[in-house]
Amino acid sequence: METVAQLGRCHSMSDEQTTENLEAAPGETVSFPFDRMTVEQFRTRFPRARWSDTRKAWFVPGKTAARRVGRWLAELEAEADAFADAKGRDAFEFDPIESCYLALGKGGFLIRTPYSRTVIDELREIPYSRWDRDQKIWHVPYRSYQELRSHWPAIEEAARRNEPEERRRRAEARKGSEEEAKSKRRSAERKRRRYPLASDDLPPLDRVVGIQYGLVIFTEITGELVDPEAMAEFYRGVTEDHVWGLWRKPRLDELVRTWPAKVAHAEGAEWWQPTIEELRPIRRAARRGEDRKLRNNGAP
Amino acid sequence: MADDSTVTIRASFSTREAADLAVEHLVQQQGVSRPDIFVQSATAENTSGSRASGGDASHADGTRHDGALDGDIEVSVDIAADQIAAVQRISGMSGR
Repeated sequence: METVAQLGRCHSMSDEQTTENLEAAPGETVSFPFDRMTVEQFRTRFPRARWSDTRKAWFVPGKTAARRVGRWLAELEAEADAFADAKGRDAFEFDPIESCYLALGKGGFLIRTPYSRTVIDELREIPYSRWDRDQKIWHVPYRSYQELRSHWPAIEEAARRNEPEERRRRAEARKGSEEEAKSKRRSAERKRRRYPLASDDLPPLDRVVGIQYGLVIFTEITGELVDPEAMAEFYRGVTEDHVWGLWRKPRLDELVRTWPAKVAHAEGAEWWQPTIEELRPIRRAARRGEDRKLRNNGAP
Repeated sequence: MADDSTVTIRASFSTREAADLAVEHLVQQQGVSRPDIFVQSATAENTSGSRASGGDASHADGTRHDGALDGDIEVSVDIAADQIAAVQRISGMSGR
């Protein structure tokens, strides 16, 4: 650090005189975390580089400076990645995860589990995790081992719960039970794509709003009154003043046009303007759906 | 997928025009996917910016101030970490 500080001071004297020249001269400004080794490497690679106190950054003169600096930064990043991977690999050897869902690959961990939404969400939380669509496997680099370790109990549990035999066993146990009948009724009600709305608080039509089924667009308010008793099983707080609204799922372009609300909706609201946190995953899912559609239609 | 190497960059703009321009730059110059860009009010109020612009500013009877001028417009974008520098070059975009 001392060397860095000295280097900075050395150049500050000439810097004041040349600030204006720097603004006009062709070149690239670059800043990076200060450590002695990096600065020495940088000075060797770019002997004409000058420190700018006003910019708190280095200035590399020359028309091709941007390209050369970019290349150097990429090399630096690759070196850092290699070190982090080695560290992660060591951590794994010292305290390994033993699981039938995890294998070691050339550049990191290979994870294959039965399909589970929880597994996907957990793995997406891990830095640099990547889904390989062709091999149907998740890749996690060694450098992300600590994060993988902390998420692993949830991943393992969800994977086991979603094993085909385990799912079959649960389905068998549910068969003929009140729980199954209730679930079927709920599912049938949802498929009707209707929703009870307080007649004095109707949502705007053709706008994306949140309801208990997720983000939807209301297409019509039928005016037909809701039977509160019959619907109590599916919807909370339904009164005689509720009427039916018909909804559909929003398309990607409609989700993109939606302005998120800055504040979360009030507890117990029947419909609301979605927040950015609600919109983000839905937009991503819609985009994946559009991409899939394009691929299936033979687009490149 | 590497969702976690994603960062959110935000910027506030005083007019809808400036916010739209930033969105266009992000999509057309930086190749950011439009679904990853969010435009919203910077405050809890509904707003069309903190000052009149576009048709309201160049109105025949002088600038109109009857629009919802209740605060800035915030543009936020989810990008990969290696796009930060490029996106920050767009006027006013900074990481948070």
